[in-house]
Amino acid sequence: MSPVESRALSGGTAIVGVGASRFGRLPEESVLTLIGEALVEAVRDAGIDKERIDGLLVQTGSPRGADYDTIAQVFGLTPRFCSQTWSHGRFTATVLTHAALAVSSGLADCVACVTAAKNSTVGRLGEANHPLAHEQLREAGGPHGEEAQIGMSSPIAGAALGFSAYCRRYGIDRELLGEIPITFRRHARLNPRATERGPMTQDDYRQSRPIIDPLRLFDCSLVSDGAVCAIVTRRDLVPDARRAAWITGAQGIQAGRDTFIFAPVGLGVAQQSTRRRSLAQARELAVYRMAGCRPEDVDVLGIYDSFSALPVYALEDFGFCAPGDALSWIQGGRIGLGGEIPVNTNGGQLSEAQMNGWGQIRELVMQLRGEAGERQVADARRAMWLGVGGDALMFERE
Amino acid sequence: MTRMQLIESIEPLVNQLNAPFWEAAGRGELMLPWCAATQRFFWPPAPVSPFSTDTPMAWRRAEPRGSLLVAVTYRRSYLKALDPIMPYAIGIVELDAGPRLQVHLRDVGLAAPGCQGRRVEVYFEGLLPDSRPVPMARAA
Repeated sequence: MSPVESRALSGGTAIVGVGASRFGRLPEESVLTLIGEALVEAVRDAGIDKERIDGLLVQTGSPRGADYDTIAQVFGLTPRFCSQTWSHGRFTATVLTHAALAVSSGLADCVACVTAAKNSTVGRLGEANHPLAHEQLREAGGPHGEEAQIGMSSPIAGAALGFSAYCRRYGIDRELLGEIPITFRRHARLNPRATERGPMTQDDYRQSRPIIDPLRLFDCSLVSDGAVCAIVTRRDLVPDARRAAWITGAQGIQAGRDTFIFAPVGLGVAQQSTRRRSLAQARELAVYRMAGCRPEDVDVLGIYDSFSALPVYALEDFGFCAPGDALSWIQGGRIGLGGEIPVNTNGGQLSEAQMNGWGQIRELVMQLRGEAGERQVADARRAMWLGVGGDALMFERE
Repeated sequence: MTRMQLIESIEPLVNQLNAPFWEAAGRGELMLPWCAATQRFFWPPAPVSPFSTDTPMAWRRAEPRGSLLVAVTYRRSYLKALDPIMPYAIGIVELDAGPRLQVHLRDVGLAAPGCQGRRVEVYFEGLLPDSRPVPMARAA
């Protein structure tokens, strides 16, 4: 690790404010109303004036959300550093890393990261009436490996192929996967903001509607409308150091022939090799080296869970357990509140809302501050974000 | 060549880069991108081999045989055009030639657990009577 890298990102910047809108199916609401709820809550939470915001990074933008220029205009912001990722999720850690780099390099002092999505009114991804439908006929495959010309529509197809290949390779009973949505639902029941708060049993899970075998409705994230905002600034501008979630480690999303968005590295789907990352290799990842810690030092995890199998892969790719072990390892409450490493204590995208992981980012900040109420992980000092694309962030409290 | 349309479509986007694959498919043949530098087939089509810095892609006929890695069955319809063929399956074939190819499976029986690893033949047919031939697989 070069001195420049560690100065820029390891402990030099922090999330100082988080806010969220209402979540759920809110077809009559303007997405701008939802962004307003999240933005105002985050600004108040940070204890700053809106005028301090001079950077604006937008996760999804139009057509599900709103673009950076619209947001700045509507809310009277005058950012001097703006950026925006594509119309899908995935770039949670990347957006926060760009915010940290911007404030540490002086391109901005205080960056608002905004994700917003109005999913209830744009149709279902994979159907022809969705504004992103053309992507599944994209050259070299859609964003999740779709090839509509062979009937392979919708992101869940790639997730189903990945999970089948995983079960085949390790000889695993697919019913073990129920532990993920059931655990996250248990967490959501303690979260007043969560969309789905009803109980979910193993029977409920087994009986949920098949979508693409072997995946079922309860393996899929929710159809959600809402917005989340996180405000990032650097050490000398942090309003209250005790409430800051310091960014102490980061690594970017990875790509290449050995990756597939819905599989661990080297699973052997798409054009991947069959060389999985070993436990020893995973424990030496850049995010751990930058933060100077190891998986066992993490108190609470947030993981991207647009499909229930994704956290399984992330736990292996980031060294929480060995390749092929995660589905057995998570059984019996290990990733639940009170377990060895609580995961998605907000309920995740499966039960709180499909906010592309930003609900988990907000939750991790609240956990580090001790503000998670009934969901609080005792003495949470170090929180980590994992994406199945290889992106990660480490947060610590002072 | 195909123009991208925002109406419901199951037609692949054909252009100069990938046309040899689709033209061969129309004749019922499997043509794959070939890297002369490393003597390997690859997928998807690329102007330059992914295994080399500057070797242009060539095309070669490949044996349309391999084994079925996995297959999954659609229980929910996404494209209205395909409602008549529901339920159908899609899968990944590990071609003997090297690359993996995603295929349509008319026989959902091939998505049953015991069929993983089964030998299959890749062939080309339209999903619907009037649509362009696409890669499919059946038990060899």
